[in-house]
Amino acid sequence: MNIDLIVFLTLLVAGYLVGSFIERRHYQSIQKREHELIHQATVPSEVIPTGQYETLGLAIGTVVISVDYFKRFLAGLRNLFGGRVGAYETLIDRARREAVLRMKESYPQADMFLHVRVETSAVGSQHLARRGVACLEVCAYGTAVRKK
Amino acid sequence: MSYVPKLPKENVNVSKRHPLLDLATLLGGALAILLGLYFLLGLAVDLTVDHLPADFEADHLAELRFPMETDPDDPFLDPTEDVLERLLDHADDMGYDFELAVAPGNDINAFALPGGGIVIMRALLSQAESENEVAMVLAHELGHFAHRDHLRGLGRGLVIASLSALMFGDDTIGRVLGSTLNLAQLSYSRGQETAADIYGLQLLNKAYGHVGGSTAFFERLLEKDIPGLAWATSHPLSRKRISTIQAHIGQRGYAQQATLPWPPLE
Repeated sequence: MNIDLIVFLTLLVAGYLVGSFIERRHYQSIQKREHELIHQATVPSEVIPTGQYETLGLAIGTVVISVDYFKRFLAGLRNLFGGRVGAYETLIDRARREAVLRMKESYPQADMFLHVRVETSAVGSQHLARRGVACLEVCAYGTAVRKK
Repeated sequence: MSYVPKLPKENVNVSKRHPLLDLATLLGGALAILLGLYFLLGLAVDLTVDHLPADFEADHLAELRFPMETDPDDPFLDPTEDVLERLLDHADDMGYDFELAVAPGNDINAFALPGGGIVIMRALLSQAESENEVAMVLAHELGHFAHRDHLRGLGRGLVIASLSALMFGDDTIGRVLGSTLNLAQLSYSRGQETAADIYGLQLLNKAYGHVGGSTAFFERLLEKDIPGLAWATSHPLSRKRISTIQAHIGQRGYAQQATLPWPPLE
């Protein structure tokens, strides 16, 4: 029998089940923490309101996440036809929101984060990238300030 | 007016479409395209093979076969060649210059190679219990030549290899879609084997005047059958082959007489 096919199907099913479980759990955590930290505003503007706020420092939140085997396969298939890669949308969404949350968590005493930027890059060796292993780093950074 | 922080009500950045639905449509599309191409190219192979003269095959395609090594002192070589001669005397001329090789190895198997090469494994010859049984195996291989199956197999193998290499390279998706093609290929191959069995049976009857011993070889293979895996094999299950052959014997009213000893007595 075709061992390749059996291994592949096992990885696909396991990837789907475990991957969806982890994703659901991560979204629950993200939503909970976003509610908790809602009082800390994130502002993309550079302008620092002088006199009312004091600068706490540079806040950075980074996260590296990877997709499961199932989504990787799905995205690979999508590459044949083109179109929206739905499989990777949740990956990017989770990573971006998690990075912003970590940035906020790094300065719990901050009231606001100014000049907030979010940057994305693919990580992992060229060898892995060629085999389609999607591993994503998102870095969110801004200036943490506090009301005087 | 004071600022009241709020979170967005719904996530606009993630599609609502279920990933399994995505998988079904994408995989279905890819497989449909691939099977369509395989079907068309397979048809092209069949058309080409039917118009390919045997001498062209011997001149240009015989190089494609692996080297046929045989021990000239093998005690089975001469009697097997005699059986082949007897069969060829009764077969229609196919334009081939047949070349027989006895290969060492424990597989119970025989192959038809481009250009008229027949390789028969030594284990098959040493385990055979009658000349008629060996004749049935050789006649089956001659059936592959008569139907040009060896070329069809070669052509379809090339189609599969180039399709999966061209479209996908050597990655997971290519291997998965390639496996599907292999299953399609195996089903095609099972049909060829049955046709070669029928050809072999008719030739055996012409050369020996009866079909005794025609199922003996498959009966020996019977214990190797794995029930339920018929779709995963290149040959039909031995049980099915035996019943097909016996049904054909009944239809044609072939006689079954005592078999000749193997190896032949001096």
